[in-house]
Amino acid sequence: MSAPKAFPSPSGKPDAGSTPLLTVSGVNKAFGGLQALSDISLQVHTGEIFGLIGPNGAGKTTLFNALTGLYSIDRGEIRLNGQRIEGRKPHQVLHAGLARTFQNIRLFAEMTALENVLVGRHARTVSGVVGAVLRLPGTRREEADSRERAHALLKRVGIAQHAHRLAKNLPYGDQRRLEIARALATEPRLLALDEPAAGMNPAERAALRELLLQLQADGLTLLLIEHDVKLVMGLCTRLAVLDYGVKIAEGTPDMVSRDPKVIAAYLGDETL
Amino acid sequence: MSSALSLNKTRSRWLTFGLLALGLALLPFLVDAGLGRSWVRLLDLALLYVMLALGLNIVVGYAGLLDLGYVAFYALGAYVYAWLSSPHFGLHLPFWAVLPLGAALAALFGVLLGAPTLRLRGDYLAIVTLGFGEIIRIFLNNLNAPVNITNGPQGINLIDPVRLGSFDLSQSHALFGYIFTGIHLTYYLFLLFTLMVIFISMRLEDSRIGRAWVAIREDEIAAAATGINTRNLKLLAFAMGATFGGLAGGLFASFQGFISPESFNLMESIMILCMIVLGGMGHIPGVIFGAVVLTLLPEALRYTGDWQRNLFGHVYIDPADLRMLLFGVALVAVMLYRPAGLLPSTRRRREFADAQG
Repeated sequence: MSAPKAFPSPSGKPDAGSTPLLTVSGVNKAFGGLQALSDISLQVHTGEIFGLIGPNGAGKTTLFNALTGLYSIDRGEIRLNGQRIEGRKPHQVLHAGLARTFQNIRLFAEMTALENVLVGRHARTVSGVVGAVLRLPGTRREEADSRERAHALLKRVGIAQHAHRLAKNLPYGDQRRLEIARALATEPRLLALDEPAAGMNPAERAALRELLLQLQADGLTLLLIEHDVKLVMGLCTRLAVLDYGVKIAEGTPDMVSRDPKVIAAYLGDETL
Repeated sequence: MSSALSLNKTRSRWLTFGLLALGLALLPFLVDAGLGRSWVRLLDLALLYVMLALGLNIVVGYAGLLDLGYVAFYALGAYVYAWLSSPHFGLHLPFWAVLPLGAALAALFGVLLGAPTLRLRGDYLAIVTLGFGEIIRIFLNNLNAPVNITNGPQGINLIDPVRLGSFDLSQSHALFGYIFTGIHLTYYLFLLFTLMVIFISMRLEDSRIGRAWVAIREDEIAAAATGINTRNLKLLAFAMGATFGGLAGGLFASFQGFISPESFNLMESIMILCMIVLGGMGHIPGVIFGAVVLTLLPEALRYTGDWQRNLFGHVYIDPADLRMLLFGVALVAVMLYRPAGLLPSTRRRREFADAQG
């Protein structure tokens, strides 16, 4: 299988059994008077599928943006594999091994599916202008390798047939898959998915579930924002629940779903 | 079967290539015989504009950074050539040393002018770059006192033509039994540089760097989150575009023998941008087409003056006015009916290339 090759650790260091891959400690973020995140702390361990749930506006996506360097945080610390990543630029966070997808799909619309994934290879390749113009042997090798990996990833997420279609012309569910393929191309340690099942039909959801479980089996750690409670409960090893920027619960799906605070804040209001 | 097919394809590709090369080699003679010497000069200018348009295409077409001050780099390349290769400072360095210097200085200014604009997008970027373009021009216009650097509005005269040893490109030479005039020889020189610029553009487009530029154009935030250092790649786009601009500027100075700030005004920047928009932004053949058409069209319209005189015995519409009118109509029509340009980019070509490889 090509699976282990797909996600080698960028730092090359093996994981010490129990060390958390992602540690968020006391993260605060305010927009003007609105405290979007207050003292959020959580740990994601290697090999987990960690769910982040909460009502709309609870701060889930804000936390994602803070983790991936799109927002600067006011206070707190974020460590990925022991490395501090708060205050870093998005591309530096990605280099450290944290890739993400977006809630409202952000593909490169006028590029083909293959090219989208090739852009994902950018962070793990080095060719510059001179190499590109002269097609130096190193560049050719790198380019061939990138193409091979990109094709493999498209196949992996199940959209190999769309390789040469423009991203904007792909069906909705396949656009979500393409975004995952693009993120995987960056060889992340931790993949953060912002509502990957949003807008998908039941068949697409089931396929997505399979894909995520496969990725986990291949050693990838997943951080997942999701509204579909059934999907989250069945998929995640552990969950954290946010409400109004505060973490109100953390634990296994079973524990969380019985937590009275969670029921009051989130599940209780919904007609389940 | 398939190998025979691909062999056939390779052969037909070489045939097309050979015919194109022959056509380009004979073009100045055909044009000279058919339309006259002044049109060969226009061909030279068209090649210069192809280089400029391809340079700006990297910034605007690939990286999506609307730059309205591009002509500043053209001006810098031209002035560097004029300073180092004219009686103005008494320096007469050879062109092969001066051209790269001009291109390099333009690239440096591309980075310097690009750096403050990194956070700006769209309209705001356009306005700031427009300002930078004007600042450079006004500097050139006023740097004649207290130390005379640019000779102000009078410009710099008697700039050396391109010379290889004792072979002066501005003179006529008898080669292989034919007389080549300076204008013809300049055509071949410019063609060489243009082909180089096209080659570099093509290679960059289909590379890690080119894809990163397009990704920034498509969605800057997603590009950053996908690991692209958007700051460095935007600066690289400015620098690459400016390099081509500086190169074209040096060639322009050697070709004209005279430059002044007047040649590098805002209208010139807008013209180059129009070439890209009209031809097909981000698409190399489209940009070339746009540059050639917009260079030759105004000249062609001059004939309408004669037609009017012949038909009505009087010139009712000044060809220069007609030019602007048609130009405006053409731009509006393109925006309405072919918003992607006259020769828009087709992905098909690359799809086939990938399927083969």
